[in-house]
Amino acid sequence: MTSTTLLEFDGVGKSFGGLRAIDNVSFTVNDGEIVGLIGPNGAGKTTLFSMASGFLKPTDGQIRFQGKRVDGFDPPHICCAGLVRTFQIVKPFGEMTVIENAMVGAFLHHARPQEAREVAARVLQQVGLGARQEQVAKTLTLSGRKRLEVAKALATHPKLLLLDEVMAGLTGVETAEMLELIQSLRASGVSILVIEHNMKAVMSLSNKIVVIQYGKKIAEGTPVEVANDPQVISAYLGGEHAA
Amino acid sequence: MTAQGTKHSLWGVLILVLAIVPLFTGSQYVLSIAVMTLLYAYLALSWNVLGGIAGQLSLGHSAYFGIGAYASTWFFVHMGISPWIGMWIGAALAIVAAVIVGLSSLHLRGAYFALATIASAMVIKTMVENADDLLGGPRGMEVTLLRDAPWQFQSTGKEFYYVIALVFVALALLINWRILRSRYGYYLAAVRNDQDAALALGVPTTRYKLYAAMISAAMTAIGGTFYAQFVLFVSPDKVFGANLGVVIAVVCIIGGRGTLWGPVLGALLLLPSEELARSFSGGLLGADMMLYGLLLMLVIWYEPRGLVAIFQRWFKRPVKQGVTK
Amino acid sequence: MSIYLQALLGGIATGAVYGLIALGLSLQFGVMKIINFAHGSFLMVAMYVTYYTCTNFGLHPLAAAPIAAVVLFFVGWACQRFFIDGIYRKESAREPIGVLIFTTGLWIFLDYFALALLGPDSRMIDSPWSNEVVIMGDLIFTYPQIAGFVIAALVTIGLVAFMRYTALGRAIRATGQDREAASVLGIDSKRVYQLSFAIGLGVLGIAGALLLPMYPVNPFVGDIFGMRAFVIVVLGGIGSIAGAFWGGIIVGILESVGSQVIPVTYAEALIFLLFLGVMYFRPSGLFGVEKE
Repeated sequence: MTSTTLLEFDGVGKSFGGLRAIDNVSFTVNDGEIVGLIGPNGAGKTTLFSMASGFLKPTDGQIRFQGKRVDGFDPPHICCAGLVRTFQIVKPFGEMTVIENAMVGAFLHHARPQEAREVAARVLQQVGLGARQEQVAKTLTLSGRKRLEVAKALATHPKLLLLDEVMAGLTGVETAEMLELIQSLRASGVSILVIEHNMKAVMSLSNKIVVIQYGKKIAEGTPVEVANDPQVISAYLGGEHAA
Repeated sequence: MTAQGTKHSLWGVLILVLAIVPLFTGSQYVLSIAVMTLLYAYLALSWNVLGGIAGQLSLGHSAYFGIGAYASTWFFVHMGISPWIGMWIGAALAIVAAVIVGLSSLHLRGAYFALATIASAMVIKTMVENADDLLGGPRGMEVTLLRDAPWQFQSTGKEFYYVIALVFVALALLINWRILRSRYGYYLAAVRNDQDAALALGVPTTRYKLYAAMISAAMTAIGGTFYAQFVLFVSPDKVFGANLGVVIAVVCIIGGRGTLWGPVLGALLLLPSEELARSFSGGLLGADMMLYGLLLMLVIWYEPRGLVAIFQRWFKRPVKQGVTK
Repeated sequence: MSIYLQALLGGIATGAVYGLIALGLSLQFGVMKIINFAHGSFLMVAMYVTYYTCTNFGLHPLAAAPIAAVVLFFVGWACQRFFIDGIYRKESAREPIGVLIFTTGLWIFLDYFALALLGPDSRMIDSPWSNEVVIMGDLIFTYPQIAGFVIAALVTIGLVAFMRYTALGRAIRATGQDREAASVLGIDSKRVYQLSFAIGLGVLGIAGALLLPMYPVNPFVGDIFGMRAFVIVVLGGIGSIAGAFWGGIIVGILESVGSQVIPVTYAEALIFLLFLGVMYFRPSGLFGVEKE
């Protein structure tokens, strides 16, 4: 059974003035997959997310979602199509309650407040924030905020989720919980592209790993293949200092 | 009836009773102050849509107020059209102005946007000041005195204006309330909290901010017409003044921007205080504005979320900013 | 022809002083990312301080400049230490709206307090020095103009040098760029903020003393110059001291030459339109160090 291609980076490049931040990156995320995107800090991973979600425009190449081009469109348009991102430094709607935060996501496909609230409540249960619905978002712990970040995106009924370092800063226990959450998301039909620095987590989670260094793709394959790739090993151990 | 329901009903009755009191004092002076208080409550509620709910700090709303005041006056004086109709022309013109200002400045953040609104308002004021033939220049225009003509939005007795002002405030409250409870309101709150995060969830931020600006401008312009009919005179200094733009924002912020009752509370505190300050300072020049400045600093220092939050704290209720008040 | 040349050069002179006025603002915004809407009001205070120092002690306006500078320096320090710092730390560093609103209240309060205390009349200092002129061919320059330009230029150069070559100046710049990184290096951001605010207002004190011989002072004089200062800051680029100076010169020239061509009332609007134009087309300014 062949998997359908959901998200496709096709020869994507990005230049900021004279700086070539991304150069000729191509890979796909297929339906039902969890793909891990790893690489040293500053390699350009978040830039790829920003381009896929409409916050930046690629200088070259194309990005296609479900066969249709999405590069150059604005974020709301892409979000509507089912491709949603989270942010590395979480962006909760601080003054609003947890459920109101999730409702903002839910409103994308549910215009009525009552409906949106129900969807939001369900999503919060899914991520484990059910008990904190009425809490003001800015009072959440980091773990809570990370989960809220996922919940907000989830409430938009995404087909593909771009998770940007959702495990950064979490304790061992919290990381395990987040892992479980991500796997349960895949089980419920959401495909996921994760940026992660936590090697153990990413390796155990992903069907496929893509490695980016200095804006270029240097490896792609199963976790085992990538772990044994000499280029990857030298990128991580050979004089690379993750800032 | 639930306890919550009973409480709301009691509050409602209280407000209704208090609202009618000024009508029975038999004092035109009291009514005058009451009318101005309600006008500022209305203006603050209008500002609240853009400045509070959408969180875009506009300090140039005097532009829309002035447009409303001048439009209805001009059409009345030169074409005999009743201000009740001229009011809507003013609102339409204000919407056009809001779109122009908005498209050129809504992408700016925080303080830059505030500055751009001041600059835009001053440009509009200058244009009006220089339109001697058309709009009377710096001296302004007088509204033709008809004494008692309710269909032309005029009356010698202030009760007329008071009742209309009450209705305006009620309508403005209704508009704010509907927005706050709707998807649009949640989206605006999201934009206010974190625009990028809102974008990422599908909120068309630019468009929605623009809508808020348009609604706010139209409402403010109607307030301008009311003012023109109340004082029967418009001039650039009085209706386009930079002070006015700042005061409207201050009233709403002190009361609690983004909330439903904040703008009203702000006006209830500030307008009568201003009058008191004026009387007790023995005509000390600028005493009322000094008070505004002082109160603004105090409130921001003590509780940036305004009077609404202060009351909530005093009555020990958990303070929920969010969208639901 | 010489009318325009005269206007041009006159505009450069006043523009240099405008630049000095804007300098403090640029510094405050560059380091602390706060917008101080009371800046114009502080200028008004500086001008009144200069005025009363001159009339009560018979001092030459230029001699009053250091006094105004010192007074404003301490006022600035106190303001930052006791008020602004408190609000600044309570809120999101991304968008210090609270400080903006607070300074709006301060602006209103200072203006009207001055009105209540000193009355609405404009005052001009009566020093024979301010009417002295230097004549070069067809061109006339008043002493205040020359002094204004020279001193403004010197102060600007001095400040640029301070920021670039002294340890304290570098500490300020570092904090402006990255507060956390600076604190790791042992720089106390609180002190830096107090110093920046104080320096900004101190420079404003000098500017006030330079301006007074050229413009009369009244409680609301700050409003016009405050707005000009903001235009200059965005024109020259936030945080750029040299940018503020050059931006001031540009605005000065525009105003001076502009009022020869179009009626004065429109000239004011021109400044506002310039602001809107810069914000729309080039928000990082001509010499911008910060990207929007």
